[in-house]
Amino acid sequence: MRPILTAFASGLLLLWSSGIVRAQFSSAASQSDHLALAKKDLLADSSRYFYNPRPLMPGTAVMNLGISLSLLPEPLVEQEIPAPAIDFQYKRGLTNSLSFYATVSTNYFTNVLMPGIQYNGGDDGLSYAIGNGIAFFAGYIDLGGEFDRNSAAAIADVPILRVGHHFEQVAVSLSLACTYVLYADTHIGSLEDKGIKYKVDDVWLTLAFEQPFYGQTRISTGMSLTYSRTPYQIWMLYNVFDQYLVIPEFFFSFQL
Amino acid sequence: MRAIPSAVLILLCTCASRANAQDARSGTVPYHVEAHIELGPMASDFLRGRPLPQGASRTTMGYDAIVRLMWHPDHLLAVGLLSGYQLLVAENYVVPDSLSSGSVHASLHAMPVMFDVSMQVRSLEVGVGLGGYILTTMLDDLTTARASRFELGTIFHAAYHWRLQDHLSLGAEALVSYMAYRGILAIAPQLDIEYDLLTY
Repeated sequence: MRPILTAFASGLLLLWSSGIVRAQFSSAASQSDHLALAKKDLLADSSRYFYNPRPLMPGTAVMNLGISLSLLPEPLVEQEIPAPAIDFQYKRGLTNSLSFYATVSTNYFTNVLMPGIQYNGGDDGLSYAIGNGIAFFAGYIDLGGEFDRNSAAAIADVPILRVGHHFEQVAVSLSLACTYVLYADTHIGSLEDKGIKYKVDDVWLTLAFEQPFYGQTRISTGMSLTYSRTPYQIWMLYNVFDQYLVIPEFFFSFQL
Repeated sequence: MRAIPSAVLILLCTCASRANAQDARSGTVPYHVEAHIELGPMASDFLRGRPLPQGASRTTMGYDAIVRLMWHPDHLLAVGLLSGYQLLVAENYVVPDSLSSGSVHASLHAMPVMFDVSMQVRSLEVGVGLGGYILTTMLDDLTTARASRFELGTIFHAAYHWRLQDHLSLGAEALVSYMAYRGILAIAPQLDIEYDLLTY
């Protein structure tokens, strides 16, 4: 009788212990998997924005396509006039801290390309980035008469500082940047001017909101305030105001 | 240009409303097409004063009626169109001359035509309308002279809604209109009737 009882008890113990161990193992494994997945999701989710300076995972990229409207300053155009442009933005994680970014903005008459590198840090609570880009600007318009063949070209260094906070699904970012003009050449008919070379021409502040819009589609919305002596958006106008002007800009873009 | 600090403020408010309800909405809540009808008195401040008539008060009273049609998908953001009618000022003056008794009626009306973006969290809605106004001046003497002009402008609005029925809610809204070119800032406390036209 005793061996039978012992065997029965041993079987129960084995079943119980194996169950516990299996359950514990399973629970620990699933917790670990769950945490890893959650972390991966969090990283993947929170990094999928252009303006938010949360570090991008290496190899991942973000692309935005949208429009922006700049309000041309009243002193130059009598009343505020919106100047539209199509914007394309690209950001790619190079390492855990470094990312490459590029923006293209065009409305046919005014074209800007700005590639750059930025160092990213922080987390969802507070993220930051410091970067530097080189802006290439080119514009051409033929107004006819005395003002035919107007063109402008410039190259500028653009240091930028970004800070951001990620709410549950809304990422808010603030960027501060300036342009230091390395090269500038403007032709108005037969006249030529290189006046803004080796000067800080613009300082701008951008407030961006990035969030899901419908389904999995995400959008970026926000506004920029540019403080500029020679706003690039109105390079073709005859600017006699040697003073800083304020140019507000509103933007709206979809993440591709 | 003076609208900028206000725009920043409204965007910050929009952000502050956060996305707490967003998870709850995501994936489970259908899309809506919402109509808003808003009515209320309106006080306007001519920030740079009124040159004519001489001695005119900077502040005037009028009313406004706004209609918004919004597409509200399964997250916080809603987008749509905003329009309506705003009476900024309507006054009678006496300007006697050899041809008439001098009684003149003058008024300034605005019709906003805007793209509206708002964020809705539970019962709170904060939004901004970007676009312009068709401003019409009317001068009624022996004859009526009318002049219209399109000018850029902005509307900020914030409302709290109480649901009355499945598709109907009533809200108290604060609406701020800014007309940059003329320097007019108008504030209107409004009643906001919201109706879900379509749910899918």
